[in-house]
Amino acid sequence: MAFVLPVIFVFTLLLVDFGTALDRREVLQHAVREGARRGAVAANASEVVNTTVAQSQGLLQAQDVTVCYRDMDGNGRRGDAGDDVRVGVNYTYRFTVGGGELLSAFNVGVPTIEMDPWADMRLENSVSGAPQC
Amino acid sequence: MLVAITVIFAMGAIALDFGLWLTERQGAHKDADSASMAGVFELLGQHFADPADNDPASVRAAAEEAVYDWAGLNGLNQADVAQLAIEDTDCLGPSPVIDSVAISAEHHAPALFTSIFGGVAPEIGAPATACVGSISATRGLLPVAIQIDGPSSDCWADLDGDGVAEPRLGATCDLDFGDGESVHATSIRLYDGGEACSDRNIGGYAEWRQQVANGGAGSECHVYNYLPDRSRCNNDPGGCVYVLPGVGSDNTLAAFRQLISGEGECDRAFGDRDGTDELREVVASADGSPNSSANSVFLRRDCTSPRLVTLVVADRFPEQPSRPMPVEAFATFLLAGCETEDRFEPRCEDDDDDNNGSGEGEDDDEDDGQFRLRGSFIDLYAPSGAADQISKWSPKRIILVE
Repeated sequence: MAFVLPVIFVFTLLLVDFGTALDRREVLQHAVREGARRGAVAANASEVVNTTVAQSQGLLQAQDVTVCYRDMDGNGRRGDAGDDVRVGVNYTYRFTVGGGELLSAFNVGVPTIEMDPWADMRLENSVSGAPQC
Repeated sequence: MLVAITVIFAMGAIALDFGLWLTERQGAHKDADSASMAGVFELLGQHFADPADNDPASVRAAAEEAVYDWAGLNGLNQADVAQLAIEDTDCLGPSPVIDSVAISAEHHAPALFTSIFGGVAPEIGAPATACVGSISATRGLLPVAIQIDGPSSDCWADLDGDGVAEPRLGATCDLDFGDGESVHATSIRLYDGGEACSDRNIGGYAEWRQQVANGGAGSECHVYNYLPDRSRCNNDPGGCVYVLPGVGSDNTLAAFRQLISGEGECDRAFGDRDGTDELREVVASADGSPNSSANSVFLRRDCTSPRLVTLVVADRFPEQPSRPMPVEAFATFLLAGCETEDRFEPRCEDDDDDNNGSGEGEDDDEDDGQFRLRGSFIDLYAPSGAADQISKWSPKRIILVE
């Protein structure tokens, strides 16, 4: 019993950490989707970054977000209506809620999960100053 | 004890995998939304004024290609796009064209922990349906109406031979301005401050001029598509407007001059930096073509110009100004300039200033002749306004309905 209970305890804490990581993943997917949608209706790149950061519940900062455009109609110009806008983020989730700290107490490296969701959407209006992907 | 521990671990594993699958489902939703809206964008290129000119097979092929392109950009294989349907579903109301793209995006999520206990990962799919519709409401409406069935102008022509004139989109033309039946455009009373744009017979000349100078009233107006009963005006707030007579060409000129006094943003961003926002600096054709046609769909550039205004479309002006006019639709018009006494002024400047310095607002005899607005009608896809059933006249927009 004395051996099993700590294992269950650690397992429960890891479960909480995994759950938190899944929540982070949901938030990030939501943020990139909202950012891409904002970009699709003709916001410029900095507005898209601001929208994505604002929708991330504090997980992201501006430098974590990349916004770029693809010339899909082959006319040599990016940012025309009908072209593509991509919003991507980079976020590292570090196990923290008990599980990570407990593991580090046993000299086990704290696990991390790299998350880099992105969303591509079609521009419905043209934008100026569109950086290339 | 062993059984209890196993149960606890199994429950934890199932909870984690279910959480993972739910996040995959959200990702599938994102992909489905993106691909369906990309496909619907192609539907904007259809002929709305004359649907018989459309080739449904090529429209479907273009939309399908766009769906697969954007599904691929979001990491989906073509096989992951299921239940693709590009149809005329009347999803926002009766429609004579293909108006919707529906798909289901399939994601393949692993069973990380459940598989230990013999579980199998489910197929995770998310549906999305995007539609094209017409703008059903507009903001920033100028207190100016144009009539469809009145005297013909070079702004309108029966382009499809169905006996009904259509606006010649993108073509420069003149609108004779006045308050009688024999003109193309007239000043109207526009209720400012309410949800409806009309049916309130208030607002005099000073308010009219202020509304023009401000780029439109603060009201939001809804499109009433071809009201079957013209007598409904008085019982249907928002459905009718009234002529405001006696504004005069000098005052009209001064109001439009004030309206465009703050222009230049589109010219600086997309144009020749001559200080005037011109057609191609404010909008671009959806298909990238430098030449417009009757069925052109224009897309607003990433800039704002006071020359891009919205006007009320009426069927025909009444014989008596006190009679109500049902609102048929709203037209987007790019103002190129004003003309009085056959003198065209891109900035609507008053030649009286040159002659005698009488200034704006004074009703000088020099300008008491015919006043004309010169510009182009734009079938503009604007990002504001709710979407409703497709009408022949109204600007189109995309809406995600599922």
